[in-house]
Order: sequence, then C-alpha cells, then structure tokens
Amino acid sequence: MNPTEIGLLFAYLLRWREIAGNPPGRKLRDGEREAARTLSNCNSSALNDFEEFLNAQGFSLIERGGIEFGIPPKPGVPNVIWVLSRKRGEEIAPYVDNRWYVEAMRDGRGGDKDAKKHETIFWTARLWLTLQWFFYEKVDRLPSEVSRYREALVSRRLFVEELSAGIEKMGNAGRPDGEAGLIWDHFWKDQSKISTWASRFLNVMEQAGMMEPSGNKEEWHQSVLAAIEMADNASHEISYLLPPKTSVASLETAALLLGENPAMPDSAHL
Amino acid sequence: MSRPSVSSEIPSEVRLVAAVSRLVDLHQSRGESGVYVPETQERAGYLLTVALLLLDTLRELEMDRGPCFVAISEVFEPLKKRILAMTVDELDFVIDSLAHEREIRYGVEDEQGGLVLGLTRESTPLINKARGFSQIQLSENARLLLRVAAMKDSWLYSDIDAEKLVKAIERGQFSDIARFCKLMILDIASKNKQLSSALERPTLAELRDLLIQDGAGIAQALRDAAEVVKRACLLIFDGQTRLAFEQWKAGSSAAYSMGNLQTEIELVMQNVEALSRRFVLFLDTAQRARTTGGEGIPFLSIIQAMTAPAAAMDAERLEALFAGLMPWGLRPGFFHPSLLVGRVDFSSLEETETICPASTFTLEPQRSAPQGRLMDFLLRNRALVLGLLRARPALLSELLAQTGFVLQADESVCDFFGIYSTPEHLDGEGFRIVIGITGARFDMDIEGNRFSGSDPLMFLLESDE
Repeated sequence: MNPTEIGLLFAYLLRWREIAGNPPGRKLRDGEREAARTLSNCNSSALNDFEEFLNAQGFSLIERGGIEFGIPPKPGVPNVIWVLSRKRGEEIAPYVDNRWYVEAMRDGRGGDKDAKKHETIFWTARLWLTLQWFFYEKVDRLPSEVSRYREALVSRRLFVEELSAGIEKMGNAGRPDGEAGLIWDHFWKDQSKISTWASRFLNVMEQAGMMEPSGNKEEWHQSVLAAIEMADNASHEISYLLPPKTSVASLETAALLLGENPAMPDSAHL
Repeated sequence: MSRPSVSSEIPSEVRLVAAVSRLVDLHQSRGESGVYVPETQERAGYLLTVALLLLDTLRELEMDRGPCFVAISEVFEPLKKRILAMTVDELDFVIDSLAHEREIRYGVEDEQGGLVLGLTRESTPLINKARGFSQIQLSENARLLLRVAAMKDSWLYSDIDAEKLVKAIERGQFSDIARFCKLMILDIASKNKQLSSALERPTLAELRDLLIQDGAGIAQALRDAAEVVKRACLLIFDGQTRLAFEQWKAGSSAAYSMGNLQTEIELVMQNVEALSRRFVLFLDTAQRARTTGGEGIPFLSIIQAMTAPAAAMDAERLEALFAGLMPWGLRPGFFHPSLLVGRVDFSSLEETETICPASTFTLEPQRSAPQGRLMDFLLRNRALVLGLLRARPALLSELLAQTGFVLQADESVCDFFGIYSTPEHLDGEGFRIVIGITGARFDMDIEGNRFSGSDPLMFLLESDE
C-alpha cells in the first residue's frame, strides 16, 4: 500500500465508513471498487501498518467475509466487507466530533440553548432506543447476531406509531417527581412533534450509514456497519444504560451509604 | 397473431405440483363420498403461473444477494415484464396465499404396527413475510421446492454433491454448469450463514447440537466435496474439455466462453474449501460450549426507565454515553498534521535563530549508536565526574562548565546531557548517583549553540551495603 492508496482509503472510510467489494442490494459507490481491491490485495503486514495508522487516530478497521452473512461471492470482486469503527480504549482524534449527533439532531429555532440541548439529547436517546427495539427486540435478535442485519427492518410509519404509543403510555403513567419529571416534560411537551423528530432522526441515521434503504419508500434495514458496532457496544456502553434492578434492599443500602433519606418505592410501604 | 402453442413438455415445477396434487386431495378428502377431485377454473392456471414465476424471481434475486428480504415492489417490476397483464392486487393475493399457513396432518410408524399422528403448520408457507412490512423472502420450503424442480428430469444434481459437477463436465452438459455453480455457491453461502447464526446465537442450541452431532460426517463430506470440485477444476482446464466445449458452443447460442466457466468453477472450489475450513473451526469453537451470554437487551424497558424516578439519567451522562453509540461527524473547516495524535510540529517553536541539536540520532549503520556514544563518553569521563561529585554535589550546569572532559572529534560537552536521565550508568561499588530537581534554570552557550533548561542537582550517595 503506497501513501496515495492509504490517503484514498482513509478518505473513503472517513466518508462512508464501509467498503464492500460485493455489496448486496446496492450499487458500488464511486471509488468503492478500487478501495476494495486495494484492501484485498494488501498483505498482512501492510494491513497491520494501516491498522496502526488508524489506531493512532482512535479508529480500527474490521474485516468480515461476505459469505459469513450469506452473500454469494461473484467472480472478480472480493467478497469482503470492511468497516471503520471506534477503537475501544483509544482516544479519538481531535478532528473527529463525537457529539456531532447533538448538532445534527438539534432544532435550531429559538428557545434557551441549554434547554434545547437537553431536549435534543433526551429525544435522541429515546429515538435511538426505539430504533434498536425494531432491529433487535422486535425480531427476537441478539446484538451478537450480526449476520441477520438484513432482516432488521424499520419503516417511518411503524417507527412513528411505536413512538406515539410509548409517549402515550408514559403520559398515562403520570408525571414523576424530581429529575425524571423534567425529562418527562421534554417528551410530553413535544408529543405533537413526534413525526418531525422521527423524520430528522431517520434522516441522520441514513446519512451516517447506520441503515440502508430496503427497496420500499421510507423503509430501511440496518447496515452491516451498525450491526458490527452494536455487537461490540452491547457489552459496553449499553450496559450503562440498563435500568438498575430496583430491589428495596439495594436502594436502602445506597441511601445509607450516601446518607440520604431513601426514596422508597410505593410497594415498600405496603 | 398466432398463439404460441403449449409445448408437450410440462414445466418441471408444474410436474412437481401435479405429482403431489393427488396426495393433497387425498389429504383433504373426508373419505365418505368417494374419491375427492376438486374442480378447477381456468384462472387457476394463471394464478399458479404467477406463483411459480414469483418464486423464480425471488430465487434470481437470492442468487444475486443471498437469502434476505426483498421489497415487493422490487419483485413486481421483473414479474410485470414477464406477465404484462398482471396487476399489483393479483400479486398481493398470490403472496398472501403463499405466505399463509395451512394444516398438514401426517403419521409416523411406531414400529409396532401403529401410527403416531402429527400435525404441521410452519412447514407449509412458501413465502415469509416480514410482519408489518411489504418485504418477502423464500421460505426453506420454497427453496427445497425450487431445488427439486431445478433437478429436472435427470435428477442429476444435489446440493453439495459435487460429484455431479464432474459428471456434467464429462458429459459436456455445458449449459447447466454456470447455473449449477451459482446454485452451489448459493448453497455454500446459506450454509455459511447458518454457521454464523449458530456461532452468534449461543441459545440456538438445536442447530448447534445438530451440527456438532453430525460434525465429523459433515466435515468429511465437505472435505470430499472440496476434493471433487478440485477434480472438476482440473477437468475444466483440460484440453479435451476445451475441444468438447468448442464443439458444443458451435451448436448453441451460449454467450459465454470457456473462461467464464473456469472462473465459476474456481470460485466454487475456493468457497467449498473455505467452508470446509470454517466448519472445522466452528466445531472447535462450538464444542467449547458457550452456555452463557447471548441475552437480549430490553430496549423498551430502558426507554421506560428514562422517565422512572429511580433510574432517570441526567443529560450530561446520556450525552457522554451516546457519544460512544451514535455515529460521529468530522469537525469541518480545518485540518492540520499536528492534530494527528503522536506527532508534534516543532517548527512552530522556531523563531529567528535556528537551534540545531548538537548531538542527534544517526541512521548510518557504521556509526556508533547514540547509546554506545553515551557509554563511550562516560567511560572516558567517569572518573572525572565522580571525582567532582565526591567532593560536593554539583548542578548540571556546573558540571558542564568543567573544561576537563576528554572529548572525541565530533563530541561536545552536550554529550553529557544523556546522564541527566540515566544516572545509573555512573553508579559503582558502594555508591550511587542521585538526581534532584532544583527549580533553578540554566542558560549557556556551548560551541555557538544556546542551551537552556532546568538545572538539576547531582549528588553521590554512599550506600551502606
């Protein structure tokens, strides 16, 4: 791999994050054929060098055989998929903006800047989790099942329906006290704008290559990139999102340790 | 306009349908009012054809992309080209009909002259629909149907039974080879995907157990298949085969050359070998039983917990967590090499005067390495330095100011700088050199170059041992 090829590959990966020699269901993008050929012609030491180059910037290149996902090989093109992912434990390069999503999802019109930002974060979290529900829980798929990524479907209509149902259920449960109440307000206030939020989010996800059009209008399937990332994230970031197993004893212990008056759940008084 | 005559040869799929039709009718009859033969309408032939062409189109798409869901609109277009009069509603009806389950009752002998009766539903639909989406794919059932139908009258080919590929070449059935290779490749791809599923989902115990149980047999079959395909590969590159192909091509309208067939068979060979290797790896991994792990993530409960009193997260924490989950963007507008981690551009420190390092790395192999150079310098001047330090502790600048160093041609007192970081080189019997940071700074001129830095204190520590 000469410096020109490294430059071209790097630029391609920064833009698309995925190179497939034999992409199923879509056409090759500009420069993808050459990028795939360069990578498949590399020997392992050149690949290691390239990986080190990427590692230094907080990235890692993941290689998967298309045949593992049931993609039939074709003569003359490498049946391999390469994906640019974050390198766990490495600092991401300063020119990469990992809070980009806040900017991309933000509704720039009016309002207090901080409040707007919080609102964006809570909504994005809800939208993202709902999307993952479509991709995994709904079709009884584990995050480790990368190869089923083309079965993970979502449509704008069903997405909005699911969100509305969720918000309605939340509303019926009533506004909680404290911090949670503020988050509740953010959602409740915008219940008429669910469709707008959903559209913006789905656009951002498609632009970022986390899902691909599946042939019908406003319908997508998960991208292989998103599936590979999720398999890795499931045991890391996601575990911090999981709600605590609320046993009364652990709440009491925590309260004692913190020297607070435990906020006991209702059942504890019964 | 003359209507194309219906050929005397019935399409192979129809023959299959006809073959099982009596069984289905029997299955359906009550057995009270004689033999049951349902009446058919002319439209039945039309619907059956749409159904078979639909399956065929889906198979074509599968050969291109592998087994996966396909949008109905994508199927409609190519079908419409084949049957001009077809409407969306008709297609929808056919799809719904093929995707519907029905009951099939059956019995299995119990080896004591009796029957164990059973009932199946799941194995009847030919098409799987993604619930809530207009996406469809072939069911395993339909794949079986198509595979059997593709065997035509010769019943020559079976899935991985590569022996038949050799036979096809030997008998000069060149028109079948390309399609057969594609089918074999699709079969290999499907098997690979099955292996992935079994590996990715530890709870898919049934499939794993099945594969492990027959592991030795499957591995052997795959190795054999690889061997046979190798034989086919040798055969297709043979001069005799080439002659036979030329002869055959002269009498047919095939648009491909020998090279195309050779490439196809080579591709099959590579992939059969890869599958064979992967299967051995799979056995190895799967047998080290992974019983833990593989839990789904309750996304809906996470959403609910967002507004639950005990579990609500603050915005900062969520933002930080999602920074690792959401796609990133690039900071637009500027890029500079100094932003690359692990690289610093010292030229920006440069002002008017140029500071040249007095001693530096050298990549010329015949020259002594920097480490050797420091050691040489030390060996020559160790006694001198120790003599000074025995008298009293000294600052680095004081040591540098001593003029008594024995220097080689290309050396200067700057070579002594190395000792600052590796004082242990001066250590000896019963004493060691210790460096202490003083906070003082030095600024001196050595052979026309200006040096400045912190000025550590060096002293000699007698040890008791």
